[in-house]
Amino acid sequence: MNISYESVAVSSRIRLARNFKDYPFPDKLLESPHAREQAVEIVRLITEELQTLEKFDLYDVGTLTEDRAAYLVERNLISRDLVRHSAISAALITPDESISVMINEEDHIREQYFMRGYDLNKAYERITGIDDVIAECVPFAFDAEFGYLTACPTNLGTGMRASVMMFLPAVSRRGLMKQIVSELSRLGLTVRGASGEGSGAEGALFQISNEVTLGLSETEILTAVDNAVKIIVQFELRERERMKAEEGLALRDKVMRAYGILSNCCIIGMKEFMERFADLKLGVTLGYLSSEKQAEELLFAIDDHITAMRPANINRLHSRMLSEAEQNAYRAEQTGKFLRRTEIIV
Amino acid sequence: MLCSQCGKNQAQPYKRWMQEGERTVYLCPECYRLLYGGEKEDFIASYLDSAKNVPRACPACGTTLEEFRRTGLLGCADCYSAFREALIPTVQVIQGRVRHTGKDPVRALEDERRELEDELKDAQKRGDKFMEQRIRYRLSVINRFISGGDE
Repeated sequence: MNISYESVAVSSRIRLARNFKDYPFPDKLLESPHAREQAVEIVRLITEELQTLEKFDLYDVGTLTEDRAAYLVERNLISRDLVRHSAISAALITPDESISVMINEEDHIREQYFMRGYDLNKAYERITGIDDVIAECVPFAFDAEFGYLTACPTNLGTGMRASVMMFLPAVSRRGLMKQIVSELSRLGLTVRGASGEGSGAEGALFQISNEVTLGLSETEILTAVDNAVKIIVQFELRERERMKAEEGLALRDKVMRAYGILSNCCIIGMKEFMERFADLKLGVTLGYLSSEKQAEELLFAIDDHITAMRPANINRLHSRMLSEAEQNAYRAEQTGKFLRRTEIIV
Repeated sequence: MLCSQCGKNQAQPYKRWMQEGERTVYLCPECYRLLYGGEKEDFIASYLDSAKNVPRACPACGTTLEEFRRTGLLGCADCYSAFREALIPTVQVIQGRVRHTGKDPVRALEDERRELEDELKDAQKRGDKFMEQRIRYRLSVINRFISGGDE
C-alpha cells in the first residue's frame, strides 16, 4: 500500500447486522414491559463471551450523559439509533476503538471493525471472528432464503455493510461526484457523506459502501467495493494531477491560505475548520506541504486532530459543556499549537 | 428513454406488482407520482398489497403489514415466515435477489469445529493440558449450539 493510495482511501469499516432468534427486534422489544430485563440478559451473555477474547469496555447507553453519548457518536463508535434506544441499548468497545459491538440498535447486534488505511479483507477477517463468538452465545435469526434476518429488509442476507472512507477533494471540486454516484449505483454500491446516512460531504470525505446485502457472498461484496475503490482512487489521483497542472498557483494559494488561517486564527467554527483542513490535506498530498513525518503519518495526525476538535470531544476534554463561542476559540488555539507541533514545512 | 406518459421527461424504470405479475413501467418521477401517488413507499406498498394468504398480524410479535409499511421495520424473526409471500417481491425490489449465498452460522461453526478438532489433536500430542482443556470447552459450546440451536 503506497502513500498516494492511502491519501484517497483513508479508512475501512465492516459492519455486520445480526438478531437473536427468540427475542423481538429492538423497536418491538421496547414495547415489551420486560424489555429492560431481556436487554440486560442479552448484554450479559455477549459481554461474558466477548471478554474471554479480548478486553472490551461496556457502556450502558441509558446511564451515559448526553455529552458522553455525543462524544461516542462523533467518534463513530455508537450511532444515533443506539442512543434513541437508550432504555435497552449498550455498546462493547475495545480500548483501541477498533471494534465496537452495539447491542439493541436497529438490530440486536451491530458489530463493526474500523481501521485506518485500506484493507477490507483484514477488516472482514477480524469482525467475522467476533461474529462467530457471539453466534455461540445465543442462536442468530437465520433463514435459508433470506439469510441473516434483520429488522429492515435492506440489510437482509449477509447483514454486511463494507465501507471505505474516501478523501476526494479533486473529484468533488471539479464537479465529478455526480458521475461517480451514478456509476456506483449501477454496481449496487452507494456514496454517502462522511457521517453516514443523510450527512453532507464534510471535508471532501465520502463513504463508499455496498447497498445490496442479499444474494451475494461476503467475498463478492468485498470484491465489488474493492473494484470500485480502486477505480475511484485512480480517478482522484488523476484529477489531482490535472488540477495541479491547470490551476497551478491558484491552487497553491488556496492551500497556503488554509495553512495561514488555521495557524493564526483566534476563532474557528466546525464548517470552516473542515473546509480549511480539506485544503490543507490536499496540499500535503500534492507535496506543497511536508514535515519531518511521512505524508501518510501527517495525514493520520491531522485526522486525529480533526476528531479531537469536534464539539463533544472538546467538551469531554474540559469535562463540561462549553458554549459554541468557547469551543470555536479553543479549537483555533489548539489548531495553531497542533500545526506548530507538526513542524510543517511550506 | 422518454416517459411513456408525458413523452417529455427522461424516464426511469419502475417495477410494479400488478394482477398479471411483475411489470416494468417507464415513467418520469413526476408522472409516477401522479399515477401511483408517490415513489418508494407506495411502490413497496403496491407489492405488499398484491400478496394473498398473508395473516393480518405476525403470530409471534403482533406486528402488522400496515406497521411495516409505515416504519419499514419488521418486529421479529417470525415476521419473515408470517409475511413471506408479501415480502418476497418487496425484497426482490430492494435487493435485486432473494437467495442468500453468504455466510451461514451453522456452517461457520462446523468449520470452526473441524479446526478445533485438529488443534485438539496437536495439543494432545504436545501434552499441553491447559490448551486441551480450553479447546474442549470451546468444542462443547459449539457442539451444544449445533445440536440444539438452529433451525
